Amino acid sequence: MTAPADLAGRIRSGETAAEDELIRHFSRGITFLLRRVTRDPALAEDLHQETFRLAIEKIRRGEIREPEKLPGFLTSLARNLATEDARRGTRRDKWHDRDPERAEQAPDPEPGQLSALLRKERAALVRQVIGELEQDRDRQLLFRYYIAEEEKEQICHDLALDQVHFNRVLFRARQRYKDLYERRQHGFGAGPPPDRPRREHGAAAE
Amino acid sequence: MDHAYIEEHDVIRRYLVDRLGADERTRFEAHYVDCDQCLERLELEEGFREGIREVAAAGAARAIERGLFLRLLLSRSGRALLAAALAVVVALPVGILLMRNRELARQLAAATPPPPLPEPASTKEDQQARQERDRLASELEQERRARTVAEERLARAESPRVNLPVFLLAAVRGDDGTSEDLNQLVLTPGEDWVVLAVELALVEHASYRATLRTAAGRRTWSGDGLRPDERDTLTLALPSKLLPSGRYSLEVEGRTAAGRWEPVTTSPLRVERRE
Repeated sequence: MTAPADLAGRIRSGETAAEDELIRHFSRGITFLLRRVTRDPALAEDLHQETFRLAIEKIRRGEIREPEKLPGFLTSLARNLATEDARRGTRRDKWHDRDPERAEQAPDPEPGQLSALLRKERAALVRQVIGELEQDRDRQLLFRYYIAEEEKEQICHDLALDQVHFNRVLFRARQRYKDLYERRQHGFGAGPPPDRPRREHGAAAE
Repeated sequence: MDHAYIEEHDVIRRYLVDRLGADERTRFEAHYVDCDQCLERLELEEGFREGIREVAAAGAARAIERGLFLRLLLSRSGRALLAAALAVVVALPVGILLMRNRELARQLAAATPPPPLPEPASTKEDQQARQERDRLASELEQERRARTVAEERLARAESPRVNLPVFLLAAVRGDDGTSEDLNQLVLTPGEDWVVLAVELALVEHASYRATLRTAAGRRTWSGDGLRPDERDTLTLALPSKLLPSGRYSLEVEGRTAAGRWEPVTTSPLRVERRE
């Protein structure tokens, strides 16, 4: 990818291809960030569009002070939009305030059928990974680390493990999960991952 | 921020569990949004973590359907988290034991010789078969004993509970080190669950986190995503084995709109176990 400062310069000089490149390069990371902040895929999708629309407007107008820090500019903008949205209340509420009869058309905060299916598949992969563990102690390790979010030192102490064993169990479990996940991805074909939102590149630059 | 720093400071995991400071988080976000390698690791780690939570939650849901106790006490998603982990930790080994038991039984059946022919002297093969059968029978017996123990544990976990110790904790602001006398929990043998309730003065956060610490500051338990009930009370059901005799504090924090945790209330408590 072009260096951030160059990319900003190209956008400022009106190069549409550079705008597409900006979206293409940073879309995945901004989506990840927004999904984490909002916990709502539909809202994250809206804010993703808004982030790139505003970012491109600001870059075009030369309002980005340090173009070499373009990634940080984008993440801050995305976070600020999410925070502002949360401060104003949920989108569903806003829709309802504006026009109660249209509230039903607001983005559904519940995950859709595809998300539910993907969650199920992910759980099936994890179930397989857990089922392949030979020792109950290793299963306990995973549950305590990922669910109770206990610290590594505490888990090692309670289960009488050394950190080498701990790291090995985690590494193998993650690696196995990755293998299974990638195998499943291949099963879907060579297209983009199904849980990644499809995006019209030109839409954000309107 | 570079990869050496990210590795050394366990940044990916700390980011996913919201334990980075604002500055470190900002720097990491600016890094990973431009780094395929970190993004891939984040997505993988988060997917794995959420998958484990799904598995645990499914186990908890089954347990809740079966158990009156769990239905009464674990109806809130935040409170279900610990029980979910416990349910899966208990249920998985039992299932595995049952499967292994069935497999051993099949092996034993396969190894059992047909009715002996009326031959006076046993052959070498007969002796080996008998030894194999004895070995399998011994293993089967061990598995049965282990299964019995596991089934007893599962039955205890699923059976309805009566007269659970329930403690309404008083909160303090500015603990002077003596106020845990306000909240004294006396636990007697056989009380393997304890219910702690904390009344919140104001409900002004969308989500709460509770952390139980020992007097030395060691975290004994923590759960987030908690929401108070309609009486503005957070109710936590904890296995009493988490609470040996000693002094503790239960800290409740609220999540701000900016995603930060800020203290809401702290309840010091003293646990006394009586024989």
